[in-house]
Amino acid sequence: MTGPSGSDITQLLRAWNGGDESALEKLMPIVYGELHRMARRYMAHESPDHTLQTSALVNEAYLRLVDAANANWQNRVHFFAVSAQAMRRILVDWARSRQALKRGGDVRPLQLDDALAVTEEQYVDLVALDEALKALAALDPRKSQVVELHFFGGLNLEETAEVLKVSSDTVLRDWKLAKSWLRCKLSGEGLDGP
Amino acid sequence: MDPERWQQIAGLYEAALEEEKSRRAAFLERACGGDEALRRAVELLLAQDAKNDAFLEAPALEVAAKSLAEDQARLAEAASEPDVLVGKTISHYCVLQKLGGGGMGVVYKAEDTRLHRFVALKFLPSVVTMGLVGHPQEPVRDAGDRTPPHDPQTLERFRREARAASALNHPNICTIHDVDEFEGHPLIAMELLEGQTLRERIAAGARSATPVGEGEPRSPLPLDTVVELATQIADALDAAHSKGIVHRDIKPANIFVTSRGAAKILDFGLAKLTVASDRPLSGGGDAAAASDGDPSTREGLAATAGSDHLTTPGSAVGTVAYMSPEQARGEEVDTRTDLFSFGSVLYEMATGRQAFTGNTSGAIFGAILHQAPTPPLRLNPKLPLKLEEIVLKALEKDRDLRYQSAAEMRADLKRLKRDSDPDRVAAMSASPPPAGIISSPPTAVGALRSAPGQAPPLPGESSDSHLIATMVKRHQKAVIALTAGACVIAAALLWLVWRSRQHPPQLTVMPLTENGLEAPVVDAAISPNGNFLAYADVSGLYLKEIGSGQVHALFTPTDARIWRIAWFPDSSNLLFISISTQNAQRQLWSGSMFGGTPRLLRSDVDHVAVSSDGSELLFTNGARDEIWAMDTSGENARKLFSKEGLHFDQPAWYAGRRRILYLAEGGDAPFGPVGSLESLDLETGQSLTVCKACADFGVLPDRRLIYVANDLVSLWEVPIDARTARPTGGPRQITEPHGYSYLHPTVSADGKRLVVLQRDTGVARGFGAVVFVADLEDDGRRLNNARRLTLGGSDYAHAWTPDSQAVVFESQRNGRFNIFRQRLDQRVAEPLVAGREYAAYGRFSPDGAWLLYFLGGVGQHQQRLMRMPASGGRSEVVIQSPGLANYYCTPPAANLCVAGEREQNRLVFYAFDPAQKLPPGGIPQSDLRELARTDYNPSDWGLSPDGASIAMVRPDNREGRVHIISLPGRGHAGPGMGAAPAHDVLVEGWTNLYNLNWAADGKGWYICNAPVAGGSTFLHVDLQGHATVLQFPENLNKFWGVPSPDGRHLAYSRTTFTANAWLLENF
Repeated sequence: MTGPSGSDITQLLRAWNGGDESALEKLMPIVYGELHRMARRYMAHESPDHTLQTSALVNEAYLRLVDAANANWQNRVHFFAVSAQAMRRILVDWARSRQALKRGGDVRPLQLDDALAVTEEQYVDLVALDEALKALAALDPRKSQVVELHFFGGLNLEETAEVLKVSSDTVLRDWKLAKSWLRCKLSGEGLDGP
Repeated sequence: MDPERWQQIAGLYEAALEEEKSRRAAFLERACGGDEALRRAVELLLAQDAKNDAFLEAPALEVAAKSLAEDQARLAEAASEPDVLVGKTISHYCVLQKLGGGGMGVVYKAEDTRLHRFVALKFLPSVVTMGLVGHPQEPVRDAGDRTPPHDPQTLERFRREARAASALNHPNICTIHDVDEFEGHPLIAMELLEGQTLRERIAAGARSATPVGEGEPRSPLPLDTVVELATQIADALDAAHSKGIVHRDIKPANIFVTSRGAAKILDFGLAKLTVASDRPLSGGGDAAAASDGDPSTREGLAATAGSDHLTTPGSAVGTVAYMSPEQARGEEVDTRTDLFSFGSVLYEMATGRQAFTGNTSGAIFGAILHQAPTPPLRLNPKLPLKLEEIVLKALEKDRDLRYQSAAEMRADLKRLKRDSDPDRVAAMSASPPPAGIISSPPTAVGALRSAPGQAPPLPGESSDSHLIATMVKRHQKAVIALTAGACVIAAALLWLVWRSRQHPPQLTVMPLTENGLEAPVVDAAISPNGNFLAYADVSGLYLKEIGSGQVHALFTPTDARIWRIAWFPDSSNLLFISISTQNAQRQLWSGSMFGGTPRLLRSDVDHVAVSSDGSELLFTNGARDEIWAMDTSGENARKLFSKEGLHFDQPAWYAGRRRILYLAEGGDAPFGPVGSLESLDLETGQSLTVCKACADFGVLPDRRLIYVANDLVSLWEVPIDARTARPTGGPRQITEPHGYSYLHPTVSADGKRLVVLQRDTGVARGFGAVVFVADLEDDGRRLNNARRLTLGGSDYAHAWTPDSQAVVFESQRNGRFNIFRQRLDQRVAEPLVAGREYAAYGRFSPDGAWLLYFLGGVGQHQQRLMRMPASGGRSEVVIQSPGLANYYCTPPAANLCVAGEREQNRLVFYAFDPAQKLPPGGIPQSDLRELARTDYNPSDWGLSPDGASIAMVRPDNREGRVHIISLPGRGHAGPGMGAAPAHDVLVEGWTNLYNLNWAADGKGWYICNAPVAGGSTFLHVDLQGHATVLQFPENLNKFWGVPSPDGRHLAYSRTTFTANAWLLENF
């Protein structure tokens, strides 16, 4: 049964955390469903949503996928961490398969509604980012985790701080530095020097 | 790099950040002590930090979802024909927007750049022009050897005739401005009209004239309107005939009724080239040969605009219902021919029924040639006798006995007008039922009536069907409900052939319904024998004979709408589910296509299916969390299955009745068909997943599962196991994505015919949102007189002009979002900001001197708030920031403008002066006066008209709350980092609040309640949290309403789409 509900997701996350890799596969369709649902809503509103609805939509989706309030899990913090990891794995896998598809396909330039398109600045190659994050983890695990929790897991800075048991200020500093580091890494500007 | 080195870099980076920017270089110089690599690394990192960007600021899920949306849009765009003409200048016409298209050509709205007026530009379709210039591109149906040799003079002749027609100058004839040529294709520029065709008008009248639920004939138009329009048409015909021009194709689709109530005859002089003759099979070729060189006989060329009568699929498609006997015989036409057709049109206007009907074009020709039409008075006893006389005289089969001139007919009409008894006029709109139709509220059985148990008439049994057809009321559906039409709005009734690239056998696709924007098809199901389509729209349940195209109204429940339809295996009985418009109660009914009162089987049912032997029903309850079965009598109901957290849709029996198939959706978000198709063994209770990424489905007799992918834009099939329904092979795509969404496939029992609903929200086709305006009454708590204001093309209203006389909105009608203003008393919008860049959220400054707007789009990275003098002129950047999240200005008294800026999960509000002198690049961040900030993280906010507070909402499924922060008085310093004084107002009884706008009096807010499950309610909430529901005439999804500054009107945008049933074969 793949119908996602709060408790199913919790169960799956728990199973995956317990080492059951297949649980991640079962989680995938749930996240994909969420992706499709969001994508459809981006498409359906062929205009910008009124004011800030785009972020509301994302929040809603994260809330459904990572609803700690309904998780009923002893360790809320741990739940956040696991779900962010799962999210990262699933989204990066998704991006990888999308790239594979695109490589074969005939992709022509597109005039998209601006409100819908991912702006160049916003666009992130999730696969490359994942690789870069792995490299960052080797140097500075906490900063890598901050990115995982905040960017992939959709946690806000306070929640991220809660998971990592550091102050929000520290998270913010980590986040800024991690972003700068990732930007350098992704744009090929080596920090190692000549 | 090793971690130690990294720690060194990171440490220095942090330390450098503590330093003033100007001292950083010196600091690093000192700290690095000559380690250039170290210094370079830190500087590089610092340089990144200075980049003000959106990198990683949107969560990964959003990035992925937008990429996916982009992929899907790309697919949809690649599949649909790009509209290359919009935005181009052709000759001296700037093409603005596509208005409609079809067999007769494609019509665009364009601006004549020389005369600065809007025109309708019509390009003749390639099939016609190809025929003209000698390159038949596709086999023209039924034209065959009748297609004349393609002489090069034809195009020239066409031009000559069109020019002659363009000489017609009459208020009731659509003016042809110009005949031109574009890349060898004839091009006609004509008057741009707003309104609807008579055909649509009759259909709309038929829907609204009679109270729903009484099985009366639908008197489409009030008598005075009939007579008035008829007089105008007669006058127009007289003008044309006096110049020797015969129309030859007078029919409701060729007569336009403008929004001011004037009749306009379309396409004078063009009919000769575009009318498919569809004459009796004997006459055509001979006639063409007999009058060689006369283009008037070259009628076999191709498709027509009309769809007034759909003939047998595959043969010639054309309008035959309004043809004259001489046309039916293939004889020469003259001016009296038009009068006969006009008589047919008048007959329909007066009675709501076509004068000559039949299941096949042959049968219709038979009726035209040999049968006297049912006297109008028998259909509508309230008609004046004189009108019947006029109609019947026009319909004389021998043209010598007819009216000899349009002038003569006009005189009779005028006399009728003068003599009309006002009482009779008033009584016109409520005429009694004709004999043979029994009305029995609430079910309105205007159905096929025949002896109980008699088999349904099959297409081809023309006499029976004809007889029945004349007994039932006809249901005319609107074609394209573009309120603003061009001279020609033509509906394509061509068979569309989509070439499936991988699979050479050609899929054929044909529309079965042609509902317009105002009545999308809600559900449709093909009968098991493949002969009938049952479908529902807002007006009721209809039956269409697929072979003949005849449509019969079956049921129109009062205070309810039809929601789902299912056939019994006998192809004559069916089930339908109604939804009460009062309390949303869903009820399951059983009825017959022959009429009779439907029987209520059960309440609280969302979806139903019948077992293949017709003995048992499977259904979901209203909450969709349980699957049940019961006898067809409605008895012996028993719950079969439920599972906590799951919702079910479209249950169906499988493998006899051993299994059921259903769509399972996640518990907390039943947005729509996202889920998986499961197969449940009823004995063991074991289920398996048949398809993970699919939505609506149907099963063919050869065990192929037809399903809609959960992107909703493509249709697939996969072979499945006869016992378990487990897939036994790979999926194959049946249709390429085409910009439509597919819903509810149903299949005939032989598996050869597939009907699917197609939903089209195409902006390029002139749909998308339009702005409506309603009057506000009772201190803004009640709506009245909602009416459409704008043309459409994704029009989104955000503001009013300070004088409350015009709505400011953005529209994608020209391909890009631009800003327009449209006065309440005008039909045309005036562009305020045009350009290639996305512009939206236009609003005026308090003093009305400046137009403010966003450039770059909300949620975009480089967001700019712009200003432009209200009288026009140069645009300048006011504020530039990636986090700009809307802005508002108060009316002049408070004279305040506030912009919101998002920082992480915080919103900071700045006051700005729209009139201030601006440095290039806008007001620097440091000069913005911070008013307040909030951690509330709203989804929307609004500035009170007195400028004293900001109210915010965010969706929450547990409670409804308006969060209000007070702004400091004018001239005071902002609160800096401290929290502004705030309080919350609980909106008792409401949750999931979106989209807030302050009421004009500042004593409340307009807020939308949009539950996750769908649907929306629009609320006026006062400052104490008391909510009043504002009733809209239509169902709307999550939307917003903007009150005018004077509080008298509300502007809102309504998304429009069409949905129609399509027939697929050879899939």
